Order: sequence, then C-alpha cells, then structure tokens
Amino acid sequence: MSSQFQALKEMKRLTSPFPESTVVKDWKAQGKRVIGYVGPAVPEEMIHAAKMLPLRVSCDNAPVPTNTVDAYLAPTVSTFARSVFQAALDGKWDFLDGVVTSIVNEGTRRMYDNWLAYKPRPYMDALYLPLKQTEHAVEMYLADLEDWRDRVSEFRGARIVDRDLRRSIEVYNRGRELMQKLYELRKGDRPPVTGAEALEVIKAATRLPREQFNELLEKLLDEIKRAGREIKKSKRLMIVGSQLENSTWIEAIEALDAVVVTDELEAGTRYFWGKVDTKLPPMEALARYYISGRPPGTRIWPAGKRFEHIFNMAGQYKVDGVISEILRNDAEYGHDKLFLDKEMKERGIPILELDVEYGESGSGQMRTRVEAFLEMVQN
Amino acid sequence: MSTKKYLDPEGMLKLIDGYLKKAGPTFQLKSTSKYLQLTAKNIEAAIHAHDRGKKYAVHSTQFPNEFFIPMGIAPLFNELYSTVVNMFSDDNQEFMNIADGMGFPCYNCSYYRSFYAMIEVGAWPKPDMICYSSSPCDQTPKGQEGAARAMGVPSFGLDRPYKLFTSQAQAYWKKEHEEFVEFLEQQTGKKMDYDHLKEVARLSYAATKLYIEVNELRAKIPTPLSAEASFAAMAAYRAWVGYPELVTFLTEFRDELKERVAKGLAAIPEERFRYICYSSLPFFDLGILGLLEQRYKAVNVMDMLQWWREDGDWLIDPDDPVGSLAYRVSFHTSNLLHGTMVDLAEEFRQAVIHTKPDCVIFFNNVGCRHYGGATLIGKDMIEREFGIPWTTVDVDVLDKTFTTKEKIADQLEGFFETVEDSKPYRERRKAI
Repeated sequence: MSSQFQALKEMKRLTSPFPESTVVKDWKAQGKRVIGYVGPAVPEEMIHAAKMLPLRVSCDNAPVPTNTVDAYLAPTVSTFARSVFQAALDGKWDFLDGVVTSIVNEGTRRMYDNWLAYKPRPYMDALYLPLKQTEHAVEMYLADLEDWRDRVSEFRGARIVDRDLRRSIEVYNRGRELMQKLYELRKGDRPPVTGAEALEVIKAATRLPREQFNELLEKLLDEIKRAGREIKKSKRLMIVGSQLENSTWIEAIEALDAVVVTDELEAGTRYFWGKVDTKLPPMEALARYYISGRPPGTRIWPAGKRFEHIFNMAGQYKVDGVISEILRNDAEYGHDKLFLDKEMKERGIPILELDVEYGESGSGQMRTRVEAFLEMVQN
Repeated sequence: MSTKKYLDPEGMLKLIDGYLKKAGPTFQLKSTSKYLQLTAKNIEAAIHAHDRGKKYAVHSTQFPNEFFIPMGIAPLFNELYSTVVNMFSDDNQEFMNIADGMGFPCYNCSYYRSFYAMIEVGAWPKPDMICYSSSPCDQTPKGQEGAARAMGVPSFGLDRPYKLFTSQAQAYWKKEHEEFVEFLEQQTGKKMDYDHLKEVARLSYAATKLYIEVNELRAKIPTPLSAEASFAAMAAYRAWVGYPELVTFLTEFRDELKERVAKGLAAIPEERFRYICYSSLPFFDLGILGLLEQRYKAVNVMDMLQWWREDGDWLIDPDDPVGSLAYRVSFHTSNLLHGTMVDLAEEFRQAVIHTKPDCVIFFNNVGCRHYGGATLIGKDMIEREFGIPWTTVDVDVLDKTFTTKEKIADQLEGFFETVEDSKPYRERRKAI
C-alpha cells in the first residue's frame, strides 16, 4: 500500500518486514522482551507496564500458505487460527519471548493448546474473556488479571506496580484518543483517508511501542490537516466482521467508486473505541474497559449488543452500504449472518456478505460482487 | 406454497413406537427398549407440557436440567432430538438442505443447521424459553440464542469459565447458576423450591454413581454391553437427569449388565478388538457400531462424552444444591473441551487406562472446531503412553451423505489389521 503521508510511510517502514520488523529488531537489540498477544482479552497496558513490547499476533498483507498446520488444526478450524499457527510452525514467531492468548473461541483455544504443546515460547499464558458484560464477569476477569499480573511480574523478575500501570493506561488512552480523532475525520462527506490507510494505522498501533505510535499518529493527523486531501467517491461503505489485516483487500474495494469510512472489526473500532477510566484503580479500570468499555464482538451475549454498535456506526458515518466479512469456518459470525442480514434490511441498509479466507487479497470474484453491490446501492 | 409435511415431534413419537414394536423383541438387552421408551416419553412430556398447564424449555447439551424440575418445566434437548430423528428417519437431510437455502453456512454444526430449519418450517414446537451453556463449544450458545431470537422466546445462557478450578471461576460459575434460578423464577412466576432442588441434586448424584458403575461394566473384558445400547446411558441421562426415572433406569441397566458379567455373557461371542472413541459416538448413524461388531468383532468400550472424572464426587454439599450442581461440570468430561487440552488429554489417558482398548477410533465431526484442533495432542499422548493404533474417521454429526457406515467399515479393514499387528494387541491376546 502506498500513501502520500510520510508518517504513515514511517509506520509501515518500522513495522516491516512483518512480524520480525525493524522496530522489533531494535527493541530486542536493547535486550528487551517482546510478548505476542492474540485477541481482545489481553490488556496491552500490563505488558507495557512490565517494560516489554506487546505485539499483536496476526498476519499481514498476504495470505499464509497453510501446508503443515492441518495436522494440528483441521481445515474446518477458523482460518485465522490456522494461519497464525502455521506462521508459528514456520518459525515466524520464534523471536517472541512469550505468547498470551485470549480465549475467545474454539479456534484460539485449540491454537493455544497446540502452540503450548508443540512450539512453546519461554512464557505462555491464556486469559479468558467472559461472554457476559455483567458485574460478576468483571469480578472474575479482574481476579484473573490480578493472577496474570503475578505471572507476568514473575517472568519479568520485578513486580508490576500500580504506578506503572497508571502511566501505561495514560499512554494507551492517548493512542485511543488519536485513533478516534482519525476516525472522526472519516465522518466528513469527503474523508481524507482511505479505509486501507486507516487499517494500516490501526495495525501499526498493535505493532509499535505505543509512545512511538502516538508520536507518529500525531504527525499523521497534522499532515492530513495540512494536506487538505478529499477522497471523492460516490459510495460510503462500512466493513463488519472478524479478523481483517490485509489492507489490499480494502484497497480492492476502494479501487471501485467507493470509500470505506468505518468498520466493526477487531483491528478497527472494536480495538480502540472508548477509553480506560483513569479515575478508577488501574486494575479495575482495565477489567471494566476490556469487558464492557469496547464494542463487543460476536461472542459476547446477547448478539444484539454487537448489532447495536454496527447500527450506531452506520448511522454516525452515514454509510450507503455494509460489507460483512465472514472468515471461513468462523462459525459464530456465520450464526449472526441470518439475523444481521434481516435487521439491516429492516433498517434499509444494504448489506453484502463475503465469505473469505483469512489474509485473502481482493480477488476478481470479490471485485465483481462488490461492483454488483455498488450498482444495487446506486439504484 | 409447499404442502410437504415435515417430520415433527408427534411424527417422531410414532416412528419410535413403530420401531420398538418391530425391533424390540430382537434386542439383546431389555435396557435398549427402555432407553428408547424414556426418550419418547421425554419428547412427549415436552410437546404436551402446555396441555398439562406446564411450561417447556429447549436446552443445549451439557446443561444442568435439574433446575427445571422443581419449577415444573419439561425439558427437551435439541441435539438428542435431532440424533433420534437420524436414528429413525432421513429427514435431517431435508432440514439441512432447507438451512442451506436459508443462507446458514454449511460449515456450521449440523445440529444447528437442522434446528434452524425445523424452526423455519414450523416442525419444532415453540418453547417457553431456551436455555444453554457455553460448556460444549461456541456454536452451542450462538445457535441456541439464535433459535430463541428466531422463535421470539426468552433465553438464558450459562457462561462457563475457561479455567474451572480457580476460586474466582468457581464463584462466577456458581453465580451464573444462581442467575439462572432467577431467570426461571421470572419466567414461571414461581419461587424455586430449594428442598425439592436438594432432592433433585441427590437423585442426580445417585445417577452419576450408577452411570460410573455402568461404565465400569462396559469396560469389562469381554464387554457385556452391545452396540445397540452404547448410547443408552447417555440418552437417558441427558433427558432425565434429576428425575427418579433415570435412577430406576440406570439401576436396571447396571443390574442387567452385572448379571451378564456374572453369567459370562459377552456382547458378542469372541470379542476380538476393543476400541475407545476419542470424542463422541458416530451419531449420524449409530448402526456403524453394530456393523463393526458383526464384521470385525470389534466392540466399543467407551467414548469421551460418557466418561466421568475420578469417582464423580461432585455433591460437595447436599445443603447447597446450586453450588454442587455447578461443581458437577468439572466431572463430566464432555464439558472439558471448553478448557485446556492438558486437562482433556489427561482424562482421556485415564479412560484408556480404565477401559483397556486395543485402539482408538476418532469419529471426527467436521463441524466441531474443538475436536478439530485436538487430534494431534490426543493422538501423540496415546502413542507415547500406550502405543496403541489410532485412526481418524471424518464424519458429519448428522449428515448421512457425508459418508456411510458401509464406507467406514470398509475403511477400517486395514486399520484393524494394523491393530492386530500392534505390539500391545499381541501382548494382550497372548495374556488371554
């Protein structure tokens, strides 16, 4: 992906090649540790407060050829879990000092089991994200986080203290504010950034030391302001779904007469929406934010909560249509499909469902379907 | 408009009745007819609950049905119903085609493909509520919640923690059960009768102990339990747990097996191969088990949906039925998939030690993501610890067109030759 913005180019340079990027090599050269984390249940603030680099485990702008993973995770397991674990089997994650997995679905659960059994890193851990956003769920998750703090402290060799956690929360909250500012700009009739560029920014947030990211995003926002760029496309789209890291997939959509103005994705609004409450004790603040401070994914009960966020974003960003990206074998999103489709139609919002492999680039077939969808939206 | 009459529970009852009249006298065990009768009675009680002024609830697998009993609610387990449909008809094929037409992904669990289609065509009587647990997998809560949404009925889900044995997980899980009681009270307008629940928990615990005795008898060499009743304890348990009927059934079942053992009566003459099923039985066509008995003299000695951890001592406090019933989840191994493979693999190891199989047959339900990621860990443990052969047979839990029992039996011919050549098998035979 090429961009006219220098700050975004710098984010890309620092986070390439993926995953053992320039920034990771520099970090490790200083004798510091990198912890890979999977999914939405792992507060990066804790890893940051332990003076380690939290790095989101995912793929990048190309699919991972899955050849040996079948023996561990059957072809029917989610393509995200299979792709990530294939990369682990290929040694791509061997530089990690630890892996912490969010137990949010069957794919990540079994991926963690296999990672632990066959390719363990020095520190392996898992955190459960409760399926309910109740006070009792917060209590359990908070107690889990306290236990986790003990384990990370032990791995670090020094206690993670509240003072450091508070500071980390502030740093991460600043990043959230900046990402929300970027998204605010996309509400305009002529947004200044593409959906593909926005995705690259969010990916950078999960791959760079947060202080460095914040600095670069401030520069990017300034550049955007000065550039006065306006993207003139006739249709405004929103992408909803699960895991999407390949920005060329969005580029293929935006090569048509459409621009992606918002999303409901794990590497999107579900990652940075809202803020951790700094008035609360830090551990409780983290527990509350990660349980209920962010838009819920499909796993959180009831499914209607996820839909509310989608409808809210579709309204705020004045979208003409929604593209629902469903990763093959990601069964929960498959379950939502029938109901989301119905509710979108009731609200008069056109929706296109695309069943994709994780990491897939925009294919000719996908382009044809999106073209037909845009024509339908036009009429 | 289609005039097609789809199979509904009333039709199902007639099919079971007809089958029992025809095949009942040929069964080796009296318990085979009894469990089918209990299954029919469970369906009948649910679909006629309203006629009797009662409410009826659909529930998921691995759900604590006991709580329905004091509230006077008749339970019906959707997967058990779909499995029974498959035992007596081919209508699930039609239902799954309908689900495909509705846009429900064909890679999702067939139990839910079938369930959604039955709801769509009006073949599933509308319940008063739907209740589910996240214990088995992610598709169960999604499917149950979706079904409630589709039918416009209230629902409640139990969120099972990943790690069961931390104090916070135990507290959360118990609280989930307490909130479930509150939900039932709201739906029925009645208060929970805790004395009744204590009695229900006592009966449930008695059933656990009897179930374990049945499993021990099933594991005898030679096994007295023929393929026709491999599903019996499980089917009865899932429908009748907490009722005295289950205790009566399991007592008679145990006694029948005990008597056979005492008389030296084996399920089949000259038992040749003993196999354990990693995960579940092949529910799409349980006739496979009989075919393997006939063709290879191979008997099924356990499956991991029926195995209990240790002695199943889950009744920690008879005066705290909610806490005890919540605690039970950690003892029934079908609940362990939601947790770590370390725990599940250890229980599988224990099952192998206790049941002494010659080999493992893994009927891999392709719609199940949990077991789809659990194969190698289980297989490696088996090879490392026991050296017995393992085979994986891909099946769909309901779809009879995915493969057939004949194809599977053919496929297993070479496998049983491998078993015969294996060192552990030769040593066991030598010892006999």
